[in-house]
Amino acid sequence: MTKNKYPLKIFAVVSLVLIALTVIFVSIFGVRTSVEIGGGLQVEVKLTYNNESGQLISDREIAGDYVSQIKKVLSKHGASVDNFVIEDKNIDTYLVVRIAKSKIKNPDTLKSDIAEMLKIDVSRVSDLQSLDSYFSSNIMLYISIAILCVLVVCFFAGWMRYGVLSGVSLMFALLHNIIFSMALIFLTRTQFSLVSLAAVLVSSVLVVFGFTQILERNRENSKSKQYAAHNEDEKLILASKQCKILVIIPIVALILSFVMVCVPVAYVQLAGVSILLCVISSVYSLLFVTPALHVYINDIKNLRAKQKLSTNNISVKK
Amino acid sequence: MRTRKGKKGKQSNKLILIAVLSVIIVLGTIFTFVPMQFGSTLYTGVWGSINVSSEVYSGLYAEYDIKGEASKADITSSMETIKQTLAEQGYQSSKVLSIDGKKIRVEIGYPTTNVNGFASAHSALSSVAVGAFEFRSASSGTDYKLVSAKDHIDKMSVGDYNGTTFLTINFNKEGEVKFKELCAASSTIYVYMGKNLQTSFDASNVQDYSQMQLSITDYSSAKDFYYKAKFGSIKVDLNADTAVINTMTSHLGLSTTEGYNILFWLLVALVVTVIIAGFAFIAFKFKVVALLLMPAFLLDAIIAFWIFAGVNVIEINLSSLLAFIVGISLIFTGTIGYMSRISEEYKAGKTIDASILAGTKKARSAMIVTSSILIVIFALLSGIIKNLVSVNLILFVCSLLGAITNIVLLPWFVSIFNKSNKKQGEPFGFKQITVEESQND
Repeated sequence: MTKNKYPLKIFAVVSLVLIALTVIFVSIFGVRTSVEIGGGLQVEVKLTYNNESGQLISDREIAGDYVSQIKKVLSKHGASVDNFVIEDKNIDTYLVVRIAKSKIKNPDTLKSDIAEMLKIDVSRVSDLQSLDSYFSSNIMLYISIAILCVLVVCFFAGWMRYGVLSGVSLMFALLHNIIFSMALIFLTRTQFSLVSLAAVLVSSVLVVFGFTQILERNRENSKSKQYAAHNEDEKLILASKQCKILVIIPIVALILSFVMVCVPVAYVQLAGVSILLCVISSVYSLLFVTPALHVYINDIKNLRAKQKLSTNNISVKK
Repeated sequence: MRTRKGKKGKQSNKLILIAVLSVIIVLGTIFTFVPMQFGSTLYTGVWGSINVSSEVYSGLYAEYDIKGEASKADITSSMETIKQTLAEQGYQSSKVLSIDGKKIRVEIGYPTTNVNGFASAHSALSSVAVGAFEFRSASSGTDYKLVSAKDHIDKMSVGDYNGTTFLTINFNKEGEVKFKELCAASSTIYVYMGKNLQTSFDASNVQDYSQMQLSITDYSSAKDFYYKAKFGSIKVDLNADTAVINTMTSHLGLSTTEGYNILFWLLVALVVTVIIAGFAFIAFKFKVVALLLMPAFLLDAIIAFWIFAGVNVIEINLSSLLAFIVGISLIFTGTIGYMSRISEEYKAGKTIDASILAGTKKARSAMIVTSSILIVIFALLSGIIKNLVSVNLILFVCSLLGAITNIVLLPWFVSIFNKSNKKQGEPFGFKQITVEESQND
């Protein structure tokens, strides 16, 4: 008897523990979202000013230094820069810094700290303004409906092609990846933004793509006399090996995420981290959890079939 | 038995098809990617008409003061409408925020090589504060009945009927009652957008009070009017007189009036690297297949850009560039999977012809199943999650084109090449396992 290469119990424990930890963590600390999703705060710094002789001077060229210094001030106040823009307003230029936090304890102190750090007059720093995003419960509802529809599509596609149990496995692959990716993102306090949402959805669909390829190979191998003696576990391992070409997509995504993490722009780095977490989740879902569940379901199905065939009441041991 | 004439006929059909395909690829490449000057008109190429977001290019922002007090729910609903309407105009990744509950701020990028890009973006932002879209019973004074878009209109659409372009407005139940009262109160109905009278029509011509149709000169003007009407239907009143529209950039070292930032070039470099790496890998593993894939890939790119420009909902931003990278990887994965299947058959000892036949048949069924599932999923996601339309549409198109490439085009090119191939598996980089190797295994 070959050792089970897909110990479902271990994977189930890992997934459930992580998800439970995430639920506890989120209920205590909340979810870290970008300004675009959860709103936040913004502060404007006027880059243009009149010098003593009345000439208009612009600090546009040192805006980069201003941003670095503002980051230091914000970190002392327990906040960070989400993104910034440099905008023109009539003849003036402003640096607008956005913070993905809904409240700062001492906003007036923050304002004076920024002015002090930048060595500018405090009148050039605006009061903190609150930002609300357009992201409403309607959008969350649409996303939930979309995920539900995709789950149904996966189930029916898997069922029609490979049988109801494969349909369940396919649906589970998608669902597990979505939940696990979100859990990793929330647990690591990575900022949840639209790019993270896109990464979660795309990685989940790629898991479906990968598992469908494996199921297709598995189906082909099952029909072949060459592999008739193999059990389900072995056939699935063989099919996974035959589909090793699928590793291209996670590798490309990994390289992409590393490159993005190296870009000196905060929201790009955070997007890179989200993609990295989604890749980890998709590899774990595709190569470990879903095959384990698929093999387990098949084993139960075979066991029940044997029990039905058995002519006496003694239970058939595996 | 196949006759000589039949064989020759089939060959000449193939040659005609190849010739037509070549012409499409050459002309398509030119019109898709190459900007050209025709007198005083600059043709930017199809790819030049695709919008770019303010994440990767300079952009425009606008701030509008909210008149009076407005509830948070009304502000959020208005921001959602503004975001959706801008997305319909191609500004998928516009940023819409409210500041202190007193202002609404909108940021959009604008097309790069499109000379009208700045003007279109400015016009789009100006329309946001166009004012309330209303039907009134009088054109002056303050004592008039009215039907307002924000309270009484269910939906609006633009369509052509019998050669005339109409904006069709469907009223909700309350709106239907109000509209009936309005038509009874006055023989002329005046259509207003804020303070400005847009048009008027005869109330006696109205027969169905649940909807009405405004005829507009042409489709482009109708679409403009439709977008303004959508902005005019938001729950909050925006002050057009104090609206500020100006230039901005979200990156340092970049002017607020032009330029791609480092992020854009980095992501374009990544897309190009993935393409080059993909071809290099295929060339290394399957030799001549890289050359055979090139025309198919070029055709995919041409069709993709024409689709993106045509639907006008794609915007180049961080998410969509990621979608391009994943989509291109999907196409290459399909190709490598397909050639690997043929390689397996060849290693098992079959001739190259038999390997291509058997491998294509097996790879085709897998490709059809996976591509069908992906196409349905991405089409669903594009329709339901409006915020990620760019990403889902790009992946939908890549899945579709990948399926066409790996199911139809590449097998066809491989079989055409193989007909003149005398070196068995060599040009494809295939090796058959020798008796010694199989014994060692």
